Amino acid sequence: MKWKWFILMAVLLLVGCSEKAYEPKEVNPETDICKVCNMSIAHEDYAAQLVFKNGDYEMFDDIGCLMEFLEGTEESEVGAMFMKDMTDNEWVDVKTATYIYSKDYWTPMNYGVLAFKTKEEAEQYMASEGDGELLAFDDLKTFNWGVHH
Amino acid sequence: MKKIVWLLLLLCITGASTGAAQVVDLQSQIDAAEEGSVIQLEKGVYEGNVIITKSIFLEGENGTVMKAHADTPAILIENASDVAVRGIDIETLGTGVTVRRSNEVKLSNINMRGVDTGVQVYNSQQLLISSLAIEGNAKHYAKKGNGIGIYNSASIELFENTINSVQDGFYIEGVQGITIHDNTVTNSRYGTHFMYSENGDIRHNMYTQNVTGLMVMMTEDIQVKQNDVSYQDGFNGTGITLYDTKNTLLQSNHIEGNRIGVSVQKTVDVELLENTFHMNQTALESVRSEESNTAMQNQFVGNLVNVRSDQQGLHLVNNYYDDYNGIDLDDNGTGDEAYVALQSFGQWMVRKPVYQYFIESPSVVLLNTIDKQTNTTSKVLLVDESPATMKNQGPTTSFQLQLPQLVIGLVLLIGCVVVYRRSVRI
Repeated sequence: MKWKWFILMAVLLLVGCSEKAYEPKEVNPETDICKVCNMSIAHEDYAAQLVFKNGDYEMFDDIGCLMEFLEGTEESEVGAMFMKDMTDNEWVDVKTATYIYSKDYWTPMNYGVLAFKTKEEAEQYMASEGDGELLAFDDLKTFNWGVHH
Repeated sequence: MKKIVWLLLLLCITGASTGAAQVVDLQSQIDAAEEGSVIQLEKGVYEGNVIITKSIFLEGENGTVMKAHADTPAILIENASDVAVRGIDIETLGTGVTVRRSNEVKLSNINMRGVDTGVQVYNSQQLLISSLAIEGNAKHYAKKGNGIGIYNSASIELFENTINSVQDGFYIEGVQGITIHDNTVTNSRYGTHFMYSENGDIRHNMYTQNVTGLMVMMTEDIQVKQNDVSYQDGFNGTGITLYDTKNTLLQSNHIEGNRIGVSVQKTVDVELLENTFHMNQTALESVRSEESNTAMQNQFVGNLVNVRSDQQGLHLVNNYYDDYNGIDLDDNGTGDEAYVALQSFGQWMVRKPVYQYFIESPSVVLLNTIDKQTNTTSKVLLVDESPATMKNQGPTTSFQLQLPQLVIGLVLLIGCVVVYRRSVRI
């Protein structure tokens, strides 16, 4: 009988220690506004969001606003970050996504940075537009956010 | 009998042919017209999606309708100079008018109903757009275009337009030198939305029932005067939002019934002068802003919270506050004690807007009472050292002697006295 209790406790312990999965929530254009610039999320294709470990969410209309918010946020409080993929409009993990930048790409804040799930999709998009520069998440931390045209 | 039947049939055919609208191919008329000519359009229905690439004055009389498909703009003006379009009703589900790389273009008295986007202007200069009536479709504002969008252009004047139910009434991006006056924008996301622009003059407009009346972002040298910004009262309703702006003047605007009257965020050198803030949930909020921002001689009446800030970032000078309790012994119109904005709950509301729903709850009333006691000792607060004790009553009439009226009055008076004396003598 004792070993059953032992297994049960072990399972509970393992469940408790496992990493929490954070899910993105869908944009509500009626009520969601960007935490940084206050703009309504009218263009969902460019939206980003940050999920705190305590379950709170913050929405952003542009990846540049999320990066600005991140500067003043404790990293230990951040559970996950998501941004809309340009190809299929699905949420992608901000840390693993591939980014492209061009001053001619329109985004709600005109920062010109778009996200893709894979590098291939990003390169394909650049080829179709005839313009762009590949970036990774670490590049966004030092990126000169602002309008460039 | 047969003859009568044939006659009736003939009459029916004739009647049907005259009753149906005759659709005129306008593009061929434009192509045939000479540079600088005037094309007068008689009342009727014209086939749309026309392209204008030369100097032309297109004028329709009352009842001129253009029907166009939604794939391309109903009227496209491209690489042209000195073009005017006036007096046309455009029927399309897409874009009404697009102007690209053109100069000296005038659009006036154009009506559009159910359009996705009204007018779009790209890389153009010297435009006058006036007296347009633009009614967007019934979709959510996230799913439709702007009323009038101006991109990377200069020297623009937009006036006396009426815009309803679009994404942004006026969307201004990368524009240098623009005047927007005497327009009305309702039921849209933003009444006017500035991005990355310079030198704007916004006067005498009415913004009501939008998410935000006026949204100014990353823009320099803007003057906002005598606008009526009332009842942006939805969940995120804000009268005027300034975000990351420099050198902005807000003067003599009437800001009433909004969730937030004016929100000043990340800004430098904002001057709020002689505005009236009536019955807003929060009249004025300052977020992450520089201390160079000043609010002077404004009137705060009937607002739940007059001023709040997440830090200092705002100088209050000689404003009238209806919740000011001080006295003015020397009767100079300025209170003898400083006005201190109730801050604790105001700051919480800046950080967590949902706290607005607890305003005037017993616990918040208690907090405000404690605040009043604390405010007398603390220095790190929003303080107006010279609060006005009387509302600005508007211009007063000074005494002026009207000589003709005085003479007539005296003559009448003397006449009355003479008549009275004579009557008494009798």
